[in-house]
Amino acid sequence: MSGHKAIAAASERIRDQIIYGKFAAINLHAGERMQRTARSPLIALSRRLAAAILTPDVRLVHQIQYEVEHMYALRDSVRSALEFFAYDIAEGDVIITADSYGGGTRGQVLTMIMPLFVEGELALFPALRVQISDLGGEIPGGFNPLAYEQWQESMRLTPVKLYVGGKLQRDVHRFLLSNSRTAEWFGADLRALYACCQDMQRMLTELFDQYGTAAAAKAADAMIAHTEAEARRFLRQAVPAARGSGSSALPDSCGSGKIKVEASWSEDRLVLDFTGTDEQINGPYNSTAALTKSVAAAAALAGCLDELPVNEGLLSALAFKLPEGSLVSPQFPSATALSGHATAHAIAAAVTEALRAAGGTAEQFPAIHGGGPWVMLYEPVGSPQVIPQPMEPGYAEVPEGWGPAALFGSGRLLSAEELETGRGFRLEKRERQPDGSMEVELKILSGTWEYQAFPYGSGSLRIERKDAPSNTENERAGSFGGATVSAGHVFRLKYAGGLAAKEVSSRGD
Amino acid sequence: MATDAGNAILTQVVGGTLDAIAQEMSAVVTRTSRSPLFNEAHDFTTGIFDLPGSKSRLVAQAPGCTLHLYAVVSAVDRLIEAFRYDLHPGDVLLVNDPYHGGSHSLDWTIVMPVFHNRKPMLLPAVRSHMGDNGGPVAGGYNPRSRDIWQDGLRIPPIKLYERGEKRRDVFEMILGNNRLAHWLEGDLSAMIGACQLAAQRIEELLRTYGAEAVASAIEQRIQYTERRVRAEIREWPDGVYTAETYADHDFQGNRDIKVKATVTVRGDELNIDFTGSSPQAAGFVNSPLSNTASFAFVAISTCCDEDIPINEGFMNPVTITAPPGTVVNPLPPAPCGHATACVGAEIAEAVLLALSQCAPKRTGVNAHKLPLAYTHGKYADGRPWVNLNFFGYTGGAGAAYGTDGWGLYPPVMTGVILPSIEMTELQYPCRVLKHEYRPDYTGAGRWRGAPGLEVQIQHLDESSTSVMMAGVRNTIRGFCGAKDGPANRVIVDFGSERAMEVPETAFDVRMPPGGIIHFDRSGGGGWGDPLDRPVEEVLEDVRNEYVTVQGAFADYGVVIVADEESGVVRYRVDEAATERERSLRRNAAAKRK
Repeated sequence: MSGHKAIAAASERIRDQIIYGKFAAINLHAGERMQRTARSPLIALSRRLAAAILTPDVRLVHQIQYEVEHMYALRDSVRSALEFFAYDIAEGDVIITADSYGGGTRGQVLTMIMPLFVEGELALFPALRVQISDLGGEIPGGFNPLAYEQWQESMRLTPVKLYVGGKLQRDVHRFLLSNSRTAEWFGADLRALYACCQDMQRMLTELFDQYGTAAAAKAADAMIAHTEAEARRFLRQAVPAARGSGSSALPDSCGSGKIKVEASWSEDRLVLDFTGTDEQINGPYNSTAALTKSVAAAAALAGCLDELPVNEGLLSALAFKLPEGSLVSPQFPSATALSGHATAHAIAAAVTEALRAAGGTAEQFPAIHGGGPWVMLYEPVGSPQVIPQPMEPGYAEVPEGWGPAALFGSGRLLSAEELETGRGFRLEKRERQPDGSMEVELKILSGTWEYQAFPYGSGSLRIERKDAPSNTENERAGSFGGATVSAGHVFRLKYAGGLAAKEVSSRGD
Repeated sequence: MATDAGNAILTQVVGGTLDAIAQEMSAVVTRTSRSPLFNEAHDFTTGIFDLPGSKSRLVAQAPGCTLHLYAVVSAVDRLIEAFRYDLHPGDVLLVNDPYHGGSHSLDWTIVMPVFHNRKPMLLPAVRSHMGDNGGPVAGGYNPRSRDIWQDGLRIPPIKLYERGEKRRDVFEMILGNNRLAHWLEGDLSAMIGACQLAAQRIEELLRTYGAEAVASAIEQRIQYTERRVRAEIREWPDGVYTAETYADHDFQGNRDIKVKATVTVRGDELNIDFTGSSPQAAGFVNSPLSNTASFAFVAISTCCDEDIPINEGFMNPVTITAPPGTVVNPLPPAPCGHATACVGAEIAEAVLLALSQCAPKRTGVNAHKLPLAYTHGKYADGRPWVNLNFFGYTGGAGAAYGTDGWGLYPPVMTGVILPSIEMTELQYPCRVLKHEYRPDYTGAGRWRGAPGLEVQIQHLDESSTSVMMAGVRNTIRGFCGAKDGPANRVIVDFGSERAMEVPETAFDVRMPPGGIIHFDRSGGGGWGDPLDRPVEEVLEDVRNEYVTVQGAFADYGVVIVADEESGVVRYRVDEAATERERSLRRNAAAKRK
C-alpha cells in the first residue's frame, strides 16, 4: 500500500475508533442517566438495565449492560418488535415490548425502541432494556415460584407503540399503568426511558451531523468485524481442538432438570450444542433462547469480555443448538420468571465445565455462576399500596475471590442505610467469614410483610420466627400466598464463598 | 291529536327498529363467534345507547344475559369520558376494568359510536363474558385472588380501531394476554362486526326519519318506560323496607358477607340504600358500583310488566346509595372476579326481599348462587381448553307469585342458553353422564322453585378443576313464607378414592383421565306458604318426580298414597289425611306467632 493510502487507512481506522467510542459514550451516558432518573430501585440501585445502539437491519452496534441476560435479549427483542411492525415504522414512533417469547427473557423486563430517521431513512437507533418493578400477575414483582404459564407471572407485553408519530397513545399508557401495582414508579420509569432514548437520538443525530451516517455505519461495521475476529481468536487459542461436554442440574428446590452441553468447532465457529438437555418443565425455570444464549456466551467469553465490547460481532462468535421445547428453549406459554436466578447458573456451570473439559483453563474460562438466596418482600396482597422489595443483600464469592459471580450483575449491593431509613428493615449483620462465605441478617423493623423465599445457590436461608426460635430448617422455595413476617422477624442468609470450581460446576450452584 | 298519534307511532317504529337492531347484533355475535360461551351459551348482551349530554342512556336492548344489562351504562360512560377529546367515526372502544365501569374483568364491553353532525349520537354496544382473561387461573375465576391484578388482565378504556383502522399492535397485545387467543380473536371480531352492522342500520334509520325525529322518539320511549315504572312504584305502599342476605364466604376465610338493602318507596320514586352492607371483602366477591346497579336494575325490572321496553326509563325513578369501601362499592385494588355471581346474587336477593314486603305479588326469587367448577386442560395439539361446566350450575330458577320456577336459570341470567350436550362433548374432551332433575331438591312453596338437578360431568383427559361454592350455608331464599332452596354440593373426582366434597373452595384439583365432577344443584326458592299449594299440583309434582311421596308430606303436608296394580303405580291424594295434616301445621304455626 502506498504511503498516502496507508495514512488514509490508518486515519480511517482512527476515525472509526473515535466514532465507536462515541457510541459507547452515548450508551454509558444513557445508562447513567437512567439510573439517575428512574424511580424504581431495580433500575436506580440494582442497575437492571442495558442500553444499546442498533443498525437499521437490527444488528447490535454497541451495548452496555449491567446484567448478562441482556446480551442477546435486547437485540432479539428489538428484532421481534420491528419484525412485527415491518413496514409500519415512522418517525416519532416509540415501541415497547416485554415478551419472553418475543426475544425476551422474563415478562417483567421491558425494551423500549426509538427508531431514528435521517432524511426519511431509518438510521442507527437506540434501545433501552430495564426490569420493571411490577407488571401485575399473581405475585407482586412477578416471581411466582408456582407458575407454570406466562400469565401467572405477569402481564405479557407484545410489541406495541407507546408513541405514534410523536404522539403518546394515552390509552396504551393507561393500560400499562393499570396492570402494575407500582403504577407511579412504572409511569416515571417510562418517562425516564423515553427521555433517555430521546437524548440518545439527539446525540446520534449530532454524531451523524459531524461524521455523516455512512461513516457512522462504517465505523459500526468495522468494530463489529473486529470484535468477532477477536472473540473467535480468543476461543481458538483457548480451546483449539475443542470437544468437551458439561452438565449441570437445577437446584433441588426448583425440581428436576438437567442441562447438557457439548462444545465443538464447526468450520471456524464454536458451537454450543445443548442436545440432551431435559424438556421444559412445569415451573418458572424455563430459560428462553435469548437468556440461554446470553448466559452461555458470557460463560464462553468470560476471559475476554473485559477487553471486547458487546456487539453483533461478539454475538456472532458463537453458534448454538437449542432443542425446541427444552429447558433451554421452551415453548410458549411456559413460565420463565425465575430462570435468571436458577437455570442461568446451571447453564453457565455446564458451559464452563464443557470448555474446561475441552482444554480451556480456569483463567480463560472463569466461573460466572454462583447464585445465592434471596427474598421478595411485599405488603400483604390487597393492601392499598403493594410495593415489591427484592432483597438480595449479599452474594456468593467466586472461587477466585474477587467478588460476586458475573451472573450476579453489576448492581449496587443493597445499602444498609437506605434499608433502614424509610423502608422498615435493618441489616443487622453483613460479614465476610473466615471461610469466604458471607452471612447476612435482615431484620424487619415495622409492618407486616408477605414474602417469597428463594433459597437458591450454595448458601442457605432461614427465617427466625418469634414462635419457633429454634427453627433451623432451610426455608423452601415455593411458599405461596400468605406467608408473613412482621417486626422482629429476622432473615438469616448465608452465601457460599471460596468453593472449588469443580464443586461449583457439578452442582450448578 | 293526529300529531300525537303520529308521534306515538313513530316512537314505536323507531323503538322497535332499535330493538330489532339490538337483536340483529345478538344474532351476529351468536353466529360468528368462536367461544361456546357466545355461540352456545349466549352469555352476552347487546344494546344501543344514546348520548344526549355527557352521560349515556340505555335506549334498546336485546334479550341476553340480564345481569350484564345495566352495567354496560357505566362502561359506556367511562369509555366516552376517556376519549372525549379523541373520538371519531370508525373508532371501536373496549373496556373490562371493574374500576372503569366494568363488573368483573371477564366481562368485556365493546362500543362503537355512530356520529351525526360530527357528534356521537348513538352507541351500539356488546358486552360478553370471555372464556379467559389471562391472569393466574384459566377461565378467569381465581378463588385465591386478593387484589384486582390477581383477578386477571385489566383493560381500561382502549381503542381497538381508530377511524376505521384496526390497531393491530393493541389487538395482538390483548390476544397475547389470553389463553384462548384462538377463540378470542374471532369473538372480538364478532362483537365488532355486530357493532359495525348496527352502525349501518342506525345510519339507515337516521336517513329514513332524520336525527331529530329519532332523538325525539327515543326520548318518548324512555319517558314511556319511566311513566310505566313510576306507575308501578306508585302502586306500592310508601314506606321503608329492609332486608339482608348473606353470601357464604369471601374465599379468604371470612364468612357471611352481608348485603343489606333498605328500599324507600315514596310516591313514584325508589331509593335503594345499601348502607349496612359488609365492608369490602378480602376475597374476590366485591361488587363494583356498576355491577351493584345492574343487579338492582334486574331486581326492579322483574317486578314490572314484561311489555315495558327495557331502557334508561327503568332507572330514572331509582336512586342507589352504596357507601364506598363496602362490598357493594369497593375501592381499588379490591378484587372483583366473582362479582357477577357472588355478591351479585345477594344484591338482587336483598332488594327483592325488601320489595316483597310492600309488593309481594310483584316479586319473585331471583338469585343464582352458582356452584362454579371450572376445568381446564390441553387438547392433543397442545392448545388449552377451559370448560365452564355449565351443566353443573344451571338451575336455581325460583318461583314468583303465580308461577313455579321454570327453565334452568333465574331471571338474572335470562338469555343465557344451556349449551347442547352434543356440542359440549364435541368441543371439550368430556361426557355429560347425568343431567337430571332431582326430586325434593328445591324450595317448596305455594309456588315452588324449579326442580334441582343432579349432574355428573366426566373429563376424558387429565384435567384441573377449581371449585367456588355459593349457596351452601346461605341458600337461595324463599319469599313470603316459602322455603329456601336446599344447599348446593360439588364433589370432585367423584366415585374414586380421592373423591372430595368441596364446601367452600378448592383450587386446581388435578383429576386423572375419566375424573368426574358431581353436582347437586339447588332448585330455586319458593313463593308463598307450601301448605297453600293445591293438592292436585303437589300430586302432579309427584307424578312428574319433582317431589317424592315423602317430600309431599314433609314439605307440603300432602298425604299421597301409591296404589300398585299389575306393576303400575298410581298415585292419589288421601284428602282427609291431608286436610288433617295441613290443619295441624297451620294451627301450630299460628300458635308460634
